[in-house]
Amino acid sequence: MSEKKTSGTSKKTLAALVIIVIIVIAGVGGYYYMYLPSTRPLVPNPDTLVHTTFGDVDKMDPAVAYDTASGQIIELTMETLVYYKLPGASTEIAPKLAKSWDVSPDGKVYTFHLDETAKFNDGSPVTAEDVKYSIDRAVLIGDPDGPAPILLIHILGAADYLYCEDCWQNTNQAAVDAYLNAGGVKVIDPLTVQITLDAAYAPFLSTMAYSVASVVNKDLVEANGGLTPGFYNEWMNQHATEVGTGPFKLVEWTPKQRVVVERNENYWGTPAKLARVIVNEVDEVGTRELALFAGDADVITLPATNLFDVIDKDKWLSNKEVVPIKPGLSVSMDPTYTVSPNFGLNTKWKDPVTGAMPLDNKDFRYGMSYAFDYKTFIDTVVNGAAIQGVGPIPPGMFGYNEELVKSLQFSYSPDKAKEYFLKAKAAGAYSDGQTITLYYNTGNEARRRGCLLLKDSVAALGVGLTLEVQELDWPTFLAKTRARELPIFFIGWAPDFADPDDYVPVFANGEIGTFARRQGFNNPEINAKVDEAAIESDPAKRKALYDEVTTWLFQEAYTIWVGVPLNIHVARDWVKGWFYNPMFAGPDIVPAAYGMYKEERTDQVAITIEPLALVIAATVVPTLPNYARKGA
Amino acid sequence: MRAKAHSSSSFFCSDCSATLLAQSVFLLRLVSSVKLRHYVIRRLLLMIPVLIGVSMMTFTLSHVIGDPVAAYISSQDVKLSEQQIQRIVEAHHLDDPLYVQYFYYISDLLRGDWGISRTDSDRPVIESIQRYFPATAELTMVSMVFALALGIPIGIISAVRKDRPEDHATRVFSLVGVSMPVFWLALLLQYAFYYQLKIHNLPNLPSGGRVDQFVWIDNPLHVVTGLYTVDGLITGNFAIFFDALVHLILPGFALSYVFMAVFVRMMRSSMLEVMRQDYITLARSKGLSERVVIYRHALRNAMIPTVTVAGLAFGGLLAGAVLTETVFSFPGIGRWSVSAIVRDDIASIMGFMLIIAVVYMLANLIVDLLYAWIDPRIRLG
Repeated sequence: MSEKKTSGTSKKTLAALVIIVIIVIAGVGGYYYMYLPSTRPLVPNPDTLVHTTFGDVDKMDPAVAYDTASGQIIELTMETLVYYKLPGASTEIAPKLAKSWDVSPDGKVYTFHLDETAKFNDGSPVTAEDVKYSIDRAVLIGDPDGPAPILLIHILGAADYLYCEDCWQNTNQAAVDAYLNAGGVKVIDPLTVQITLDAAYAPFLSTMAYSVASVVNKDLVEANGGLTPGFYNEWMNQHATEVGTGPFKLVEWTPKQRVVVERNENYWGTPAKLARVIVNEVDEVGTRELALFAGDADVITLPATNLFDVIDKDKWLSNKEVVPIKPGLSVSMDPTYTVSPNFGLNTKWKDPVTGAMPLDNKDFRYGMSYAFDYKTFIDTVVNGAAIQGVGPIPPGMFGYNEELVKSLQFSYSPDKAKEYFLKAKAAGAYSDGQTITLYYNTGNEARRRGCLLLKDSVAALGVGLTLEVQELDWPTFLAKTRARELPIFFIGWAPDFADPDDYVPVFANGEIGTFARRQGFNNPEINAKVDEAAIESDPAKRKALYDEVTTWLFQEAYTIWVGVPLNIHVARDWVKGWFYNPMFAGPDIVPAAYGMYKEERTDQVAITIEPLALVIAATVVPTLPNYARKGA
Repeated sequence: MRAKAHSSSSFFCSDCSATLLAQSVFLLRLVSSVKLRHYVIRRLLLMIPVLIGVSMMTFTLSHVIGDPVAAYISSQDVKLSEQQIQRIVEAHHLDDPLYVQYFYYISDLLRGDWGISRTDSDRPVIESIQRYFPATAELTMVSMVFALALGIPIGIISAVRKDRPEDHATRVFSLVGVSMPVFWLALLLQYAFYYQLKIHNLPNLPSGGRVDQFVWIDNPLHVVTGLYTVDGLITGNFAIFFDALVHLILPGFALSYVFMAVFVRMMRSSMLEVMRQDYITLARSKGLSERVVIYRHALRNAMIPTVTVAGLAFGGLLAGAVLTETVFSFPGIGRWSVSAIVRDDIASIMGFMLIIAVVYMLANLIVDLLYAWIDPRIRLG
């Protein structure tokens, strides 16, 4: 190759390089000088809370929204007749839009007296007509995937409509008329509304605290598509939270990016301290962590698997002491109302080869419950962010009896497990060489490791029983559990309303309970007790009934009660006034409606581009003479 | 063939205007030729059977795995009663034979009803594609620019300086590129250019998103094309334009790195191959400068394989955007498809596959047209 031929072009290359470098530096420098201040406050945007999480809002319409991302925005922007006694973790019902209420002696008629000062953020007052419209609307839309069939079913006439065969994606006028004529929700006067139930139902007020019973502005809905029974209102799905009675109002929802709510300056109650809450959607947990550490996020959602990125592992696992390992963080761990995960044992499962039905044998089920190493699962798989399973009623809820649960709980005991398995084998429940497969849905790492833990501990017993672990993709998992084909599978339940009636029937009632049916047991006596507890108004009697059902569930060991997860709240320490309530859809940000704020600090941090310029200069400048020499 | 003996190339030329004009005239002639029109029409018509094939495959795959009703129930939503599930089965014809279901699907597709995206708040799939596709298109184009603008010159340098330190360095660079998982690279870039710079109070690049939330709140953008940089420019919203551009740097680079590395390797090998040809020796023996030999004579022929790969890479970039968009929380079609896959949202998955297939085919068509432009010996027909 001819060297001399390159000399002319090298100069050009050098010139081109210099021009490119100048353009880049000028562009970047210009950008930063134009759009970045020279200093930034230590607490960025003190009037705005930035919550970085995953999962997008599904629908803004409270009548149909049934996911946490939507729920938390509705909780900030809309209100129900009654709510929980806040601030704090209490699930005791307190007045909200209704300042008081009366209950008829037979427990079937609730009369709510509205607060006359309550108004929507557009200034219009909340009337009994709005309340009636809101509740009727949620029933009449009747989304089978929404919250109405769970929560509004007890209102007179609602059950017939919500279980009607052709009322979804179809306006069945006869069914609509039947519901409206039943008179479940009546306007007594502009500030009084009466709700009649088809039977006394003790947890009714709790169901009225769920976002499905949020009051919407009738005139606004009617002006924007109105109500078509059996169909969504698309305008409401996108915009409902713009006009509510809550302390915030929706100003922006950009799907897969962010939701922005701003303080309702027209709020009828105590105004929020924060001017704005931004919910950012960031799927990658590493990115969320970096945003928190850098101060761009004030609160993030952190899965239990990443717990030790923020707190001291030894202190947490040995004394349950929460010590952040990064400066400026604030971390809290609180028990939730979620009963998950648990192994559901299918009593009707028959071994396809031998025809044995081992899980139908109580001793065999006891063996399973004793063979699971609860402590190892909680400490190593979920990093201690759970407590051992307590049966169907979560701790802190009415009906939870700690003393009773402690006396009934199984603990990991290989000796007892062996004893019970051998007893079951002697009784012919299974024979040596029996294999049973544990199933979990693909992608759930905690469940996979839970299955492996049980498999290993059973293998170590040497009782002629082998457990195998098999993952199934979600569609197959669902299909097979519904068809009762799986012997052992994971089950769990999260709260709709703060009452055991949301949980106990699911796990115990073999007629209607989602899991009880899939586990193939049905005890009419217990079903009757569950039904009785739902309508019993005497708390003492009610509690006694739930104690009986809980005792029975533990004694029959149909389920291995593995854990109740803890809520992990990770924030910067400048976020003040946060508190946990297990009924919040979005425990990280809903306290913004009840006085949460960001502490203002006067410290400023200087931003300077000189160090960057120095770095560039130190790297680039020494190389230039080389190019120049080559060029020459 | 006699090349002009001036010390320039089509890329770094002193009388570019003449070369550009000649090329434009050629391109214009090419596009307006009847033969070409027929060729393009034939290629577009050929897309139909391919699209039918794609729709059949995705439809069959999504319906034979597990219980199809799960497509309408998320894994979080286990509270449905049996009656509700039965209603879903009937509403979606899930108890009909597969070919009947396919017929329903394809007829809806033709009527413009691509179904409802459950992962996108039950919006029509078409609307979701309109919303998310521009973000991915913008990201993909920036990545393509990164990949080509860096990959081709580096590949040329690597070939020209074969077995020199520059060559070794570029080979390491490209090996790292093809072997490093994109999500890992993305996290490293975030850590270095966002986190480390930020905590040391240096100007830093954003960790994700399309624009900064506060810039957006202060300068709301009137969306026209959905490409924020373009919209920022045409509406005169320069704050958004700059911010959107800055937000494209890290994801654009992360996404482009694999293909940049491929281009480097491809360019290097084809360049070495071409440099061994007799006509290059002839050109050198005529006393042409090395730059003219490389850029004027060798480059064009060496470009053909790279252009082929670039066409395929465009589709690959779209598909690769799935991971990059997730890590950088970039609201594009890839991220939408990931959430659709996680929730077994069949309508969205099928919409995504179809749109990717169309883009892939169009990219290949453009590549075939480019062949004729780069090498006039190639005739379309």
